[in-house]
Amino acid sequence: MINGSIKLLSSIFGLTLVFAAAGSTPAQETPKPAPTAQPAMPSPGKPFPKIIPAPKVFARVGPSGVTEKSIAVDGRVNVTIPCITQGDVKINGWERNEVRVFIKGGSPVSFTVKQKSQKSDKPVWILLSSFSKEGDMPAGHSDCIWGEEIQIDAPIGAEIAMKGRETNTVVDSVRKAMVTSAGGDLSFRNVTEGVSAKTYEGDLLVENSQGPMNLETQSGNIVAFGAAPGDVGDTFRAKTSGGTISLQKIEYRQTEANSISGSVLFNGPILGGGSYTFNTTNGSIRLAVPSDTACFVIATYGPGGLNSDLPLKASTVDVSPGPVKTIRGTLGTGGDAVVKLTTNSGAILIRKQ
Amino acid sequence: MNTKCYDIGIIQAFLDGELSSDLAAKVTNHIAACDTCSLALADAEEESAVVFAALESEFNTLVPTQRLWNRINDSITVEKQRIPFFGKVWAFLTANLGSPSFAVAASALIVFGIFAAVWTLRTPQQISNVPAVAVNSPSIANIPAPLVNSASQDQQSEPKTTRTVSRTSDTVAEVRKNDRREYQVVNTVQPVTPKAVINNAGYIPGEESYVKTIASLSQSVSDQKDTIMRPSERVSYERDMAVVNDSIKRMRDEVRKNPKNDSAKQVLYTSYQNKIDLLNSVAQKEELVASLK
Repeated sequence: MINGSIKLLSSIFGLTLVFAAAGSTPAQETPKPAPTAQPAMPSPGKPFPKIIPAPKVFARVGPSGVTEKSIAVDGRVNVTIPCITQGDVKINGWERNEVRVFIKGGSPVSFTVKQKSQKSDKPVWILLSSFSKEGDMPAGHSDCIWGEEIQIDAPIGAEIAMKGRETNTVVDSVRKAMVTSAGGDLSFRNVTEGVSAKTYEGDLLVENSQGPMNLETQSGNIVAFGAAPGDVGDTFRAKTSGGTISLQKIEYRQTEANSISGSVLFNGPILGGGSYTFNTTNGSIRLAVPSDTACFVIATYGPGGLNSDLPLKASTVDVSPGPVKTIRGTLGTGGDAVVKLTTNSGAILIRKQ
Repeated sequence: MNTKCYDIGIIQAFLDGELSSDLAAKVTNHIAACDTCSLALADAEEESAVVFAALESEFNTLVPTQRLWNRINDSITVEKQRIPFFGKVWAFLTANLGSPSFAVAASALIVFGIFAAVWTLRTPQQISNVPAVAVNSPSIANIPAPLVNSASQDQQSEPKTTRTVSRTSDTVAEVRKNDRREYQVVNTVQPVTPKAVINNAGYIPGEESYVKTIASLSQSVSDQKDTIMRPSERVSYERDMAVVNDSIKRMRDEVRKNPKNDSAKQVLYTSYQNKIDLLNSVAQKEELVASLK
């Protein structure tokens, strides 16, 4: 009796479930969304076995606002990006003779070939913008590129020229970089033939790079680590108004660092025949140099004073009462390098490395 | 022959061609027959030859032409026009005060003028409470200018005259009213023109060009700062500008005290350059942002 009741109840429950499932099922099954296009991102450090010829223009627009385009170019191409309004920009050098642009959650992108090589007939100068022709651009739209994430891969021999508005930019492993940004941090690594960078609000970082350096920020810090000239006569120049300048392992004979309300830190060798100028209005100057450093020092300072771990043989001393005091003298055996240190209200410290 | 000889004056006049034709004919006939007069004529000719030889250079100079006389007359006219105003007035008075009626009228006019001047000077004290008087307010330098008007702050560091008037007689309400009014005055203060700065201060060599450049840049940048800079950027800018202004002030004072202090001069020039760079950065950023639209 009891078993029969249980079986009856089970069958009723099962039938109810079947009908309920049948009523909720749609007539046609909705197709599953396509997986998000993942860009093929070769790591910049790993070399490719051989240079793969790229297609002339490859374009793909993903379903979630992802744009990807590439173009075959000359190995020493100049990539000009006249306008990026916002986004995190990553520019990587790779060993393909190809420029690839990947934009996530932003504008379309197009290539305009400005010049081709007569030898290889490949572009040596291309321009990146939202629309290649004015007629393609909808009314009210800008020609600028923008996006949450902007990745550009270019040949390691490429030269990058970029202007941005609100962009945090990282440039890695290219030949030359010229970046100007109205706001945002700029970072450069492994650039072989020079960096010219300016941001009006943000920090500047240069690491393991060669060539002439011209770094300027309005209200941010400048950090340079492991930079050296590519050619004889290359100079290093860093300037900030409201930040600290920190230079380590800088091997330029012409080095200049200028700040207004920040400190200047230099840690590295003073090379023979070099000219080193470090100025700050309202900060300190700290030099950490090898103990066998030989150079001529001109130190101008205010109430902060001058303190040196290395013996400084003064030749001219002007420490009369007043806002400015000057000491001229030699470190070590003198030599033909000249180091000018000027601070209005901070201290000058010379330390052993 | 003719026993009546001519005197030396007649002979000299004959030699100079100053005699009338009749007299000259008579003298000619006489000299031809009279040895004495012919000798006198020969002596006179020798003397004339000596004198002409000595004065040859003088006689060869050009005589003033009509054009030269015109120029001389013009110069005299110009010189007359250049006579100072008070000189002309003095000449006029000396020429006309001889007339008693004119002297009486001038005296009456002077007395009236003095009376009017005294009356005019008394009037501001009597109406000092009228709110439209902006002079009866504290010095501009004593009032912190609003942050948004950094142009005036920039200019305050430059050498210029400030107005300082005692405010002890004002009531609290008046002082507040005047303070508000003074803020308005600060907001409308025109930047000191380079010419004014030049006239009010002496520059060390090379300083003037910096000051001129800064004055012109300050004018052009003052409006751009509010639109182009974000608040954090603006704070940083104003801080750096204050640091630079302070440095300029201290170094300028030092150089004034000790003009041979080359280090102070060098720091002063560097500070000026920093200020120019700061001002330039505003214009450059505006240019960049405009190009990115």
